[in-house]
Amino acid sequence: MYRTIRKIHLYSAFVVLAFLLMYFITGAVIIMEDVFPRKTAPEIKIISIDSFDLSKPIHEQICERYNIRGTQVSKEWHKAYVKPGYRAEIKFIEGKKVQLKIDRGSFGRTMSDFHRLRGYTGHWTHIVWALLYDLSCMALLVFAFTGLYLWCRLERKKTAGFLLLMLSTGLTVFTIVYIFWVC
Amino acid sequence: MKTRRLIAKIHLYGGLACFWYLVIFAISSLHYHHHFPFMKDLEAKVIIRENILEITDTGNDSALALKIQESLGIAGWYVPWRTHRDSGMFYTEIQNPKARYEAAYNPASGEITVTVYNKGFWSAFNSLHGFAGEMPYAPLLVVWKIYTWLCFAVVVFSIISGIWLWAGRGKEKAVGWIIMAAIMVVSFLLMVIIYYRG
Repeated sequence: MYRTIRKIHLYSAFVVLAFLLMYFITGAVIIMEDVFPRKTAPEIKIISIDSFDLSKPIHEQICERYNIRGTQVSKEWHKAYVKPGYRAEIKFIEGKKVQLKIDRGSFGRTMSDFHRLRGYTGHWTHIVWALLYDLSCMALLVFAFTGLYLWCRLERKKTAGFLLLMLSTGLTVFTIVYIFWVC
Repeated sequence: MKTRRLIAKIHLYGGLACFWYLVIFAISSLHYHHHFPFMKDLEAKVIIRENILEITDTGNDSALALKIQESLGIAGWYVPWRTHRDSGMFYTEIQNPKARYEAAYNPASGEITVTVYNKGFWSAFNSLHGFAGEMPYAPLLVVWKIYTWLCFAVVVFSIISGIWLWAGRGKEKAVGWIIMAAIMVVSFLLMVIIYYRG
């Protein structure tokens, strides 16, 4: 039992490492917004629809001509294509024109977009990302609880470990109570 | 041997100190991905406060919202996109992990009405997800900020030290490092593929 739990602890650590380390890093970039700013200036083009074949969907032609990629997140007359560090919006405006707004994000924005990339939709790579995300979260829980078990089995004198566990518990309870008391 | 024992102790005790942080981080991450119904914000309207505030309106919405927050002593952040004026009234919203406060202020008379919508326990729980910032009027939250960075360092150390401790022989250690490097490369490559081809 001990050896099995030890192996599970190790393998879950690998899964955690693969993904959660990236989340820690992208999360750190989000926290340090002063160092990694997220605001960018988008590029805007106004295009006449006369330059397109009106017998085919215009937004598809725009995507092909301007190499627009990403997951489509809207419908009807305003279409947006998003992926980490990139957002393209196609909007039909007055005078038979189309406004194309392309926002190529800064490093900070790109990392922030990766950190918030969720859902089993869009490009196959996004689905792989979503799957790894869920696996990593569950691996982190397994990692934590198997670690607890290993401590129980390994250490004869559990005083120091117990105090540290109580410290972790105390910090967490204090913070939640503080939020409810102060806020 | 002494080095090995020391690293094992740091690995073990560091992990215990970060236990609850990792559990909260994992559960809140799953919630952000799947939006569990039982963790949804309650929006329970419980209190309506009415008061008179003596503050100067300079015409600047941001400054007035911050003065209102300061006068009422509400911890959190005012929401700029929910701040506006209409028919002589000033409206703003202040949010924190526990509740949402809608304020309707009359600059002429100084009367203010604050409606509080409590979000519930799970909102506070999930707000601890990687929280390493500062909340106005909640200075002791710096404790969680320090804890966040400590847990980050401990987790990175624990993963590396864990491989080192687990592998008995040099060959096994090398295998462990190679697996770790390969996993990190694959993860990085996935980000690159999503960025260029996603």
